[in-house]
This record gives sequence, C-alpha cells and structure tokens, in this order.
Amino acid sequence: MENTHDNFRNKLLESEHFTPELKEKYNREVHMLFEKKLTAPRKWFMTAIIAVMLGQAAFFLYAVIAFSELPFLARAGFGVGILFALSFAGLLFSIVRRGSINIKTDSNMYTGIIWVFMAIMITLFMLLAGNMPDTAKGISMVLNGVVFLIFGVVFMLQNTINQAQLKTQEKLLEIEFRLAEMKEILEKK
Amino acid sequence: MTDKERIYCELLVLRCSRGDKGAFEELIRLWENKLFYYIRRLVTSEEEAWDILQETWIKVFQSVGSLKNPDALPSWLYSIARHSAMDHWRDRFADVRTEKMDEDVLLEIPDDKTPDFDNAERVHRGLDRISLSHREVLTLFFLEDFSIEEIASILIIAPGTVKSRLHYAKRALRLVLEKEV
Repeated sequence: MENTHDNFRNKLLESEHFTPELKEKYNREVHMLFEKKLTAPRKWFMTAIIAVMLGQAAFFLYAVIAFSELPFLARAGFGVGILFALSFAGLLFSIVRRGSINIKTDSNMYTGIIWVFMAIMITLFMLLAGNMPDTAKGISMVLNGVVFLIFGVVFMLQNTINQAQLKTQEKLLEIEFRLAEMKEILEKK
Repeated sequence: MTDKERIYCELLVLRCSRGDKGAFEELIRLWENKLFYYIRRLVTSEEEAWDILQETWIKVFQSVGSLKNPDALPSWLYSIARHSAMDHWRDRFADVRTEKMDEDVLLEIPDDKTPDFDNAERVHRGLDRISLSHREVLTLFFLEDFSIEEIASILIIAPGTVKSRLHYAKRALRLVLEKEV
C-alpha cells in the first residue's frame, strides 16, 4: 500500500515540468544562500580595514623592535597584536577576493579570532597590572580585567557545553537511527 | 511517519541547528521537489514558484533552530512554503467565492463512482483545473502521508474542515477526470 502511494507520488512529481533556465537560476541562488555577495561599497570598506590591519601590524612590529625597554609582557602584547592584525587581514582578504561572505563559516571565524585576541590581551594586561609600581592602581586594573575574563570564560564554557550536548544528542540519534534501520530490515525478513 | 523517518528528521533538524551546511543541503535535496510541486499548485507562474521556494529555504535556514518538535519537520516545511506563497498571493487566498461555488456544484454529483487516481499524469493535469483550496488540500494529501491533523495545522483550519474539503476535492477532481475522458 505504502509502495503504491510512493509510486503514485513519484509519478506525480515527475509529471511536473520545469524550464531548465529557471531551475538553473534557482540552483545558483540556493547555492548562494550561505554566500552573501559583497556590494562595491562593502568591498571598499573591507579593503580599507585590511589596509588599517596591515598598518597596525607594521606599527606593532616597529613597537616590538623600537621599544626594547618595555617589559616583556608589553612586548608580548604587541606580538599578539601583530598576529591578530595579520590573521584578521588574511580573513578579510580571502572574503574580498572571493567576492562573497559565507554567513556561517566566516562569521564564526570572525568571532573566534576576536574572542581569542580579547582573551589573550586581557590576560596580558592583567599580568602587566600585577607588576605595576602603584599597587592600588594595579589591583583595580586586575579586578577590572578579572570581571571581563570571567564573562569571557563563562561564555566560552556555555558554548562548549552546548556544542558537547548537541554532539552527544546527535550521536545518540545516530545509534537510534541505526537500530530503527535494523528493526525495519528484520521486520521485512 | 515511521520510527526511522522520525529519528532521521530529528537528526537533520539537530544538524541544521548546529549550522551543518551538509545537513541543510540534504534537507533541500529531500524536500525540494515536493515543496516545488506544492508551491507550483498555489501560484500561476513557474518563475514565481521558484522564487517562493527560495524564500522558503531562507526562512527555514533562519528558523530551523527554533523548531521545538522535529517530528513536525515535514508539516513545518509545508507551512513555511504556504506562508511564503501567501505573502505573494494574499488576494487569491482571500477569495473563497470560487471554492464555495465548486462545493455547491459538486454536491449534485453522486458519490458512488470509483476514484480514478491511479494515472498520475491525468491527476497532475486535473489538479490545475479544480479550485485553489481543493487543489491545495489534495496536493498535500498526495505528496505526503500527512494525518488530517497535520494537514489542518498547515492550512490553519479545523480537522473537520480538512475532512470535508478533502472529500469535496476528491469529487471535484474525479469530475474533472471524467469530463476529460
């Protein structure tokens, strides 16, 4: 009975004729659902950001070399700045070159890079604050840093827990699916 | 819906909400033809049907994570497709006069004739010649193994109305097919 219905449905679907050009246009657009095409002003804006990022990387590099009297942690901060600026410029460059932004993957990479940079910088500033000659100022800087760091860690943990939960749920469903498949095969026999 | 299909839907929804591009492509592959067929029965031009289907996928993509009951995935997809079509054709959906007229005429037809719904090609042609509301309910009936309640939730009408509409729609289609012979 089910097969009869399936056959009928398939034949009904086959009866539908479409214009190849329209289908082709639709396919292209659906493929682009995840890819948002960059407009000319946006391209220019991104190019400008790439230039700023490269300039920033060059400045940080200059700072690392020129200000050798700065504490090691401050220079390490500049080093992190160089890495951040270069990786961000690299990501933007790949988007501009492609001419489109992937809503899912590119956005996740943006967030990831910014989050890692913020976490490292806050940690470095806190370590620097701990070494400040003015203890009162140092403590207040550390406290401010701790608040931001706690927020960041909570956000990261929450995200990790959610992802782990979803993955576990997915694995359990995969097992359930296999069992249902086996049950169906056994019932047919 | 079998256990296997239910679990598969749940798995697909979970993967889509995790942002798995492959899962979304799978979702499109599985329902694209059926949703297009349904939308095509609601609008007059093919180009519009493709546009509406594309809008449907955008809406699905944006809100699949909020789908609380993955078992309802098929009916949810059809609901979104219908809403997208309604946005395009609000005026036509509001026009119930033709539907009423069809039902009045069809009441005069005896119900003892055996349905000839075996020939899919003829049914396909016949669907285009019955009223919009009849065409819609019959298309859902033919495309999926929906329960009356599921069809009611897609069409946002009472299950009793679905039953009677389905009954009249079958008679309307039968009449059209008989006239064709």
